[in-house]
Amino acid sequence: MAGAGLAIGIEQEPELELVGRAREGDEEAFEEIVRRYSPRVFYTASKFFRQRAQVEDIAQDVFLKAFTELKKFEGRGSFEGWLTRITTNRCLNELRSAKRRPEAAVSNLSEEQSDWLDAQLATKSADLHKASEQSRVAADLAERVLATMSADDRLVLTLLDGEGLSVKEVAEHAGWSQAKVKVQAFRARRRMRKAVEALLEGRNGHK
Amino acid sequence: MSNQHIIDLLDNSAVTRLSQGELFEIEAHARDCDMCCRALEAARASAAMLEARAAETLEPQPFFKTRVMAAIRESRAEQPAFLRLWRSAGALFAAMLMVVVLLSTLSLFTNPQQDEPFESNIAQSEIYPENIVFDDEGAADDEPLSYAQVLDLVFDSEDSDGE
Repeated sequence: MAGAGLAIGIEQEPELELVGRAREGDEEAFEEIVRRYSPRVFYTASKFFRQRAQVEDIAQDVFLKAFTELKKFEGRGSFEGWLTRITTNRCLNELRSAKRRPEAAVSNLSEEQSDWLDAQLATKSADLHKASEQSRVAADLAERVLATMSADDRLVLTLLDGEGLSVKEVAEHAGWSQAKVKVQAFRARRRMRKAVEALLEGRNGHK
Repeated sequence: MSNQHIIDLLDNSAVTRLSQGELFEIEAHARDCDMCCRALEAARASAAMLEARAAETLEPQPFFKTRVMAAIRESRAEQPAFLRLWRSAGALFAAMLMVVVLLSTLSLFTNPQQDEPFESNIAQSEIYPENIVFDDEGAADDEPLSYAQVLDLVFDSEDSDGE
């Protein structure tokens, strides 16, 4: 009973007190931090990576880094925001170290990906992805195209156009200036649009 | 309206975030312009792909917390290499210091006459000429010989050698 009471207590403990105790080396407090914020860390990392094992490895690294650098958290912003920044930076480093794939070619597309592109050309509608199966195909295609782009392009497109964050929020997550986010986004959108245009033209050529 | 203007509008923000006025302007132009029409189609497809990708989310599994805490305990148990080296060097230094102190203490208490001059030590010691000449084991036990006795013994032994 005492254990249950303690568990309820720690779950309701304010963020700063919890962080303060974890900073003193209290493992129980840090365990509660992991429980409380791991969904957020997973959410952010899964925007950049689809493999569960890779997302789990990144999330573990994020919490290890957070544990060793807790003293650097000054409590000015939210702890969740601080963790999200660590996660975004960790993902950016991972994307930078990953080898970029060569340009996405129509000949390499699966049948369902080709069909999705055909449907785009036929209906000129952006609502097709709403059906779950179509959504998965569209996500696969996005991954294919994004894999050919730079880490910075991927970051800005994923957070700004995919997640719908504001320029200010992306700047905070990435540690960039807002001007850099805008310029990077403009160039990244152009590169992605041209890559998709090449795929669509390829489908037209196949017809 | 130039093609570049339309293309810039498309690249300036996601299609889904364009205002009604901007979208109307782009669509009106794209009806008569193949290049901008293709750009609009591609921009729409891009936006749809990115939104579909963003909708995918993974959630932590129940064992994740245990895994992280195990990794933290492991990292705490592991000391950095330089720290281990520093600590072992410190232990070595402490051991050496203890040996030096011990030896100094021992030398101080076991040999207190070391400070006296060498000459006085020589003067105080019982050194007899016969001990030096004969290196006789029993000589030290006997009465000291006079110089005359020593000379006699020496010359006698030489005579007997000559015989």
